[in-house]
Amino acid sequence: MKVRLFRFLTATLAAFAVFTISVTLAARADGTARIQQTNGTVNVYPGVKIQIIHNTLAMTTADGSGTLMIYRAACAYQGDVLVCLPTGATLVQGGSVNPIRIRQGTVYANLTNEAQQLSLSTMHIPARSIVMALTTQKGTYVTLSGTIDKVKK
Amino acid sequence: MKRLAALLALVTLLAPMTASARPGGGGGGRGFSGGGGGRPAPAARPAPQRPSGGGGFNFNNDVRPQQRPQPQQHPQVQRPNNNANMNRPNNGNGNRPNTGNGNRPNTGNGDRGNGNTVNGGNKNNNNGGNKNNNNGGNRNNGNNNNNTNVNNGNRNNVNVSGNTVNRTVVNNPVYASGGAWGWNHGVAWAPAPYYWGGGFWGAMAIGATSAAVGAAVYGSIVSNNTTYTSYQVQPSSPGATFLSSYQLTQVQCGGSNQVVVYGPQNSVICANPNNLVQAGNYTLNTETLTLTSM
Repeated sequence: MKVRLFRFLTATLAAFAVFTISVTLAARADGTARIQQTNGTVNVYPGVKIQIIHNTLAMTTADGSGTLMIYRAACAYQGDVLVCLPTGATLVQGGSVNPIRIRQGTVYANLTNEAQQLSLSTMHIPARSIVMALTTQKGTYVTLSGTIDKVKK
Repeated sequence: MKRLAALLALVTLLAPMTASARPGGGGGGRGFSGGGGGRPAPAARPAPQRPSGGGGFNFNNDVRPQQRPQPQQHPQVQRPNNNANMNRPNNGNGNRPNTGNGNRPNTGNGDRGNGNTVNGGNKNNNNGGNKNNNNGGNRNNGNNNNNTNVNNGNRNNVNVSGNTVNRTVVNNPVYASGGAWGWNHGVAWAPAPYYWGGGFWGAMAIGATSAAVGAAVYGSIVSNNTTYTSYQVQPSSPGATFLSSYQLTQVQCGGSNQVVVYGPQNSVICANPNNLVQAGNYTLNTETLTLTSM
């Protein structure tokens, strides 16, 4: 009886360990978004997945329920850092797609495998990472930083 | 029993890893931890203004107005220059009044919308000897004027049929062979609204008075009864790349004998002439960073 119990526990724990490791590897999204409303309310979203797919920048909440997509921007390289002024954004969330009107903002994308220093700044952007800040027409302030999880051209 | 104890210890070790892999520490399907101005909030407590009906980014203020009917579509019917379309829904650009671009140089090819047709067969005609030979497909254009070359071997004549306008294209001395957007690692650049010059000269946001907020004014240019204010080009901007490629230094607009460059979205900057670019008015092609005389 003890042997059977032991084998059952062993199998269960082994399966649990495999599941845990797979979850740990899959949840590599480490982006952090911060959204501040005009009334001062702040929401912080850890675990944001950052993807650059077909020249769009998509940032998805950790549970996948919301995606803010920047689909149009004026981008120019400053050294090895791609600097973009976003002009078009869309929020895909809750079964609907809504445009987000951007007032101004800047996206710094380091697509290289080495950390890059911003021009005229002491700030470094880690390898394959994004640093972003933008303000919407309604005054919502959005920041995002984190590693790019996927790049697809 | 020892092996069982070891397995239990393994469970103890794995438990925190599972918790850390779960985003936000929240329960169920929600993955966000709300916060109020940086103070720690209980992970299970929903954010103060989280969208109703589940998780996702909080863009309540930005999304909500889009669902309302927009009454602003009606005034467009009363716009001028709408003679032929009074009874049709106003859904096109054909009824909008000219915003003034017709009177200023085009920032693209320089030949659009002015009734002139560029003779394609006359491109890249390097005139080392200052002679303007007739090119195939370029008859009857009456353009026998020679261009003044600045001995850089880098100029092309663009003859415009139908009138006597001769335009000089000064190829970019650095990026001429780089193809489209070669100056930008091949990445297409497009002007961004709400920035002076579309952001080409730097991320200078345009304020309510159409002036770039916080940017240093670099004089102004009056053209066709319109005053174009110039601002200081920001370092590391595409405009700075353009200036350095031509070895130009920006100066205050308004003086004589200047290189005046009309850039994207009604922007203008000025520079002193050099051995690459002689004084005059130019339009800038942002795709190739070439200058075309006006």
